[in-house]
Amino acid sequence: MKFELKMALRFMASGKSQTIFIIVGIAVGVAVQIFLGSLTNSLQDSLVDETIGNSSHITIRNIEDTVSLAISQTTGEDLVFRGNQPLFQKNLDNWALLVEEIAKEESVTAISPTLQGTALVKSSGRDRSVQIKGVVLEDADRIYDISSRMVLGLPVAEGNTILIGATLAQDLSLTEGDSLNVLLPNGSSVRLIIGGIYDLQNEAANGSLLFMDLRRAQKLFNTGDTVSSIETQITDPFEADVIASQWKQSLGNVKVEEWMELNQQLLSALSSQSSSSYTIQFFVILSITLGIASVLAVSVIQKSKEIGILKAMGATKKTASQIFILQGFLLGMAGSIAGIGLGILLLTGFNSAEGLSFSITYEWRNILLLAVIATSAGAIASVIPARRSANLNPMEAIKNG
Amino acid sequence: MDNILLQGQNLVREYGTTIITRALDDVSVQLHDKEFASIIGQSGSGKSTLLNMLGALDRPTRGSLLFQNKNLSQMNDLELAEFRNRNIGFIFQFHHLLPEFSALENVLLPTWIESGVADRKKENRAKELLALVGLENRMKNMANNLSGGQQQRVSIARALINDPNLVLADEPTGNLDSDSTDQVYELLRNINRDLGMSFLIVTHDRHIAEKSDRVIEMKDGRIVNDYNTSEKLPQELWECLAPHNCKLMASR
Repeated sequence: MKFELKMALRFMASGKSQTIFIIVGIAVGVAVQIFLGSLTNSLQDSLVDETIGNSSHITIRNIEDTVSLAISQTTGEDLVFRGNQPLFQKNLDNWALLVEEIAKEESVTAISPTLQGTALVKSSGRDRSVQIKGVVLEDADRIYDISSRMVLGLPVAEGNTILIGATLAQDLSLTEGDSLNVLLPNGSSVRLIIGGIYDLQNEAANGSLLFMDLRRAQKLFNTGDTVSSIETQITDPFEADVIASQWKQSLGNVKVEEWMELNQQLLSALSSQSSSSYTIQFFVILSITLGIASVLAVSVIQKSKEIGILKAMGATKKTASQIFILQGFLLGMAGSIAGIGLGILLLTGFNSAEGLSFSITYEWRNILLLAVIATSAGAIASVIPARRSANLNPMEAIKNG
Repeated sequence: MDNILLQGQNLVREYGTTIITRALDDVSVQLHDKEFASIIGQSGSGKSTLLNMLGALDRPTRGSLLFQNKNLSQMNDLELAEFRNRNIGFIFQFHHLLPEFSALENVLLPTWIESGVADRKKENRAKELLALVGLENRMKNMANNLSGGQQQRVSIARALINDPNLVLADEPTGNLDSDSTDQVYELLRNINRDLGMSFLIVTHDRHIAEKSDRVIEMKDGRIVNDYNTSEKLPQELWECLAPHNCKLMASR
């Protein structure tokens, strides 16, 4: 074994309680970091997944998608009405080309051309306003995951067969196989058959979405071979802005909306959550570093006589400083290893607790990164004590008395 | 005793920047091969300063130091450290063993410093040396579990492990009882005779000074007397050494 390492180990062993205290201290710090880091990440993932897991990440529309008129009506002093009135909607007629272009991007996981329109559903004397989504079910499934979340019937949307949500079905007392009247904005009405009922675990979708075949929808709304939007999902939702701006360039005259734009509040909440988590982690590392530094600073003073003897016997400055750098490194490493164990224990405990809406997952990459940071912090913390040890005057240390 | 081992010329050592204290004042001294010399003098007379300088622990403010005709003042810190490791054995008053290590490991420390790793051959040598100082049964004892005399004998073995040319001892018997003092002194003398290394011992004890080959007496940073003990009659020698012992007794 290298002499410096042997000295470092013996010095640590000789101050056993000091060594154990600081290792436990580092371990608690590392464990908190692992727990907090994993908690923040999992919470963020779960929130993002809840928000956009089953919705379009990037949506492409006609550049003149909806032209609306801002109107306000007043009688004297009182505001009676103010709002936007949609005048007309323009669809994408070159959508097949756009789909082809989009498909070239590797990170795209789903492309669903959609024709969306509003309608009124009437059944047993009650009515509900709904959004009709004309889709190719196979494509829409990749975003909305309908097929695996059917509560009744089969995931089939062809011809007059449609799929409705559980809430809508309940509200209108409808079930699989029933037919319902759909009243379109242009005044015409059509009779459709419920092929199945889904539960997308989202009140808005369950209450007001209605999936039908794209061709049928095009005929219904009399739009020709056009779609109102192309909905897409990508591998990493947080790259949506980058990809969206690429598409703005490459796709030309279209409107590209990405979820981040539409969820600024969520994103700023998430980013402030991450930055507060990073801040806490930074200060934990700082206190670990200071803890190690102070233990080693005391140790250099405690061992000054020994260092002096070693120097008198020919130990170099390098040796004298390495002994303490190694101690810092070993303390950081031992603390990290104990901290990983403790952190995973905490996570397991948290995950096994009941009544949780999500579970914390951890990534070994992140944990190892934290361990590497804590270990390097140990080595860095030892620099000042090591320098003091290197510059210790042997004559002072071995002076009689 | 003809070959010069170490030669210090006009050595001056000053401390401080604004108020300068001169600990060594123009000291010239030569040490010879196989010599057993002692330095005597009152506290603050510069004994330890001289010893540290001759052992390359300290650098002179002025003056030159030649060891086997190598100029130590031209060496850098790294070279001096290596020089100490190879050529000088140190024995300190308070033993200064490392409590974290056993007797055997303490003896081996200089070899570890030299090569960075443990070496079997050196371990056998360390065992021989521990046997030489009469501690063959205490080799595995931790340094703290040895008596004062035993600890000092371990540190003697440690001083010898790298076969140095010169062993420097600063009050090696200073805090030992008289029996242990005699044992340690006999041991040093025997090693000097059998292994042939030079010894320079700083001491207050005139019993030890009396039995040295040579006595160097210091006062106020200067050498005031330097003679071979064989040149003086026993009674005369005893008288010469007397003040130091008396002074010491009085101050205790």
